[in-house]
Amino acid sequence: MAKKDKEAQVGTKELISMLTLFVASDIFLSYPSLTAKRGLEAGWMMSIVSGIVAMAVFLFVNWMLHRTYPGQDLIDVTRNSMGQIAGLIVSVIVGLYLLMLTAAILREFMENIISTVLPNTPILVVAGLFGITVCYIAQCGLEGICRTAVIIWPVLLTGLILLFLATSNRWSPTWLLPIWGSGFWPVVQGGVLYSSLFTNVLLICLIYPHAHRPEELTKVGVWSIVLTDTVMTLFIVVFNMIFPAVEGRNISFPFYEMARIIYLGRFFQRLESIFIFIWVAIAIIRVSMTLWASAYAFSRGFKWPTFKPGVPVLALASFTLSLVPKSAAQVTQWTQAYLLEWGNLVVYGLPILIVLVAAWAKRSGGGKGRQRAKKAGRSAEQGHRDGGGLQDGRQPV
Amino acid sequence: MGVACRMVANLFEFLFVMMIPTGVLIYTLSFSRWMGGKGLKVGSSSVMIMGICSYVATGWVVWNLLT
Repeated sequence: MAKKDKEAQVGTKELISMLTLFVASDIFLSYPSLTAKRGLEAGWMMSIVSGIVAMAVFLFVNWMLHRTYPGQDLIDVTRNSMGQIAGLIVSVIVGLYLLMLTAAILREFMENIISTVLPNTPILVVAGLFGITVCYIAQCGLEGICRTAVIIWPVLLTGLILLFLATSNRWSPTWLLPIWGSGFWPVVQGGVLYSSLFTNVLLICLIYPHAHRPEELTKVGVWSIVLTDTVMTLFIVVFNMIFPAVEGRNISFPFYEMARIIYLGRFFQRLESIFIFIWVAIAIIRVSMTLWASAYAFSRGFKWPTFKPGVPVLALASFTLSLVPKSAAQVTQWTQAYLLEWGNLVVYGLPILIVLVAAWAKRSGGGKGRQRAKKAGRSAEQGHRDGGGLQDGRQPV
Repeated sequence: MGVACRMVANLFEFLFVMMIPTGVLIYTLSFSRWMGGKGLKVGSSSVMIMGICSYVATGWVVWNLLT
């Protein structure tokens, strides 16, 4: 093993696994039915459009960060170019968005569990147990989550391949026609609107200095977007071949429904209980990551010495927020309206705005901004050379 | 009589559910004090506000859910 790998906190492979699982977990939730609703038979094209948007934004933001403020994350860049208050505001916005996301996923997951496998269990018990597990993993930090993701990623892949093969006797490729579904522009519009699904763009900008090899972050971003998009597109294609678009848009739990209709003979049918393990494992990783990222964003903004004490209190807050919607339908509606459609402003708008303003400030401000950027860049490089990844008093992850 | 009994049962159920949030509040407040001791006023007050807000909101939501 190379010396750099020994010193690494989070390696390239771990980051790719984590970010891929992080976004791909949406196939277990309401995303496939949302695409069926908006794009009809061409729902699978929406995920491709979203992936292209995510890739374009990521490459632009990454290039700008490399060019203007190398070795710094989004919050550092904001602080160096716009001041402390702006840094605090950005941290709070990102932290709150991730907290809302955690709450929404938590509730959707709870509804899935209660309405399918544990119908007689009170929602508080499911939420409590799930919350405690997630809190424990998030407390282990980025490294713990990424290592768990590396173990789970092959399980997800195997599970999906098995699911596709086991349902292949029910595929009807003609249900993918007409090829443009609801029309070319509605599909493109829907893809752009739901592109905030790729929250990994925001996460990469946030965890920038904590990758052991920052020079490979472009590779991490590109691979995670490509892999996620492939998995999601394949899933939606298979989903649309099993359930026609008109029926698919009313299905709340696509993965579960697909596992439920497996029939390979009298002794191999209704294998959903096997797939529930995959489902739960991936949901835990997803929620742990959003919870950790939320605690991390707040800790950066308010300058806490460590993110850890923020995890239980934010887990409690997300638990509370998750219980606010009155029904599963309301959760899906709120997620679609506020987190997916308006979420673009936070996931893409905020990083683009910050890098543009930072580049402008650096160009026009000259001396002070550049000196601060150089100083921060040097301290980041020094931190990486020392192997600790600790710079300007930042906490370990 | 029946209503009173139900209220008492709800209260006990509520207190039972609020055990974990109370633990979280204590943990958060102790962290806030620790940061205050280090001279990090912004960090200390932000954690305290966050902890208290989460606790009150949890209490309100759980009570509404149980009653």
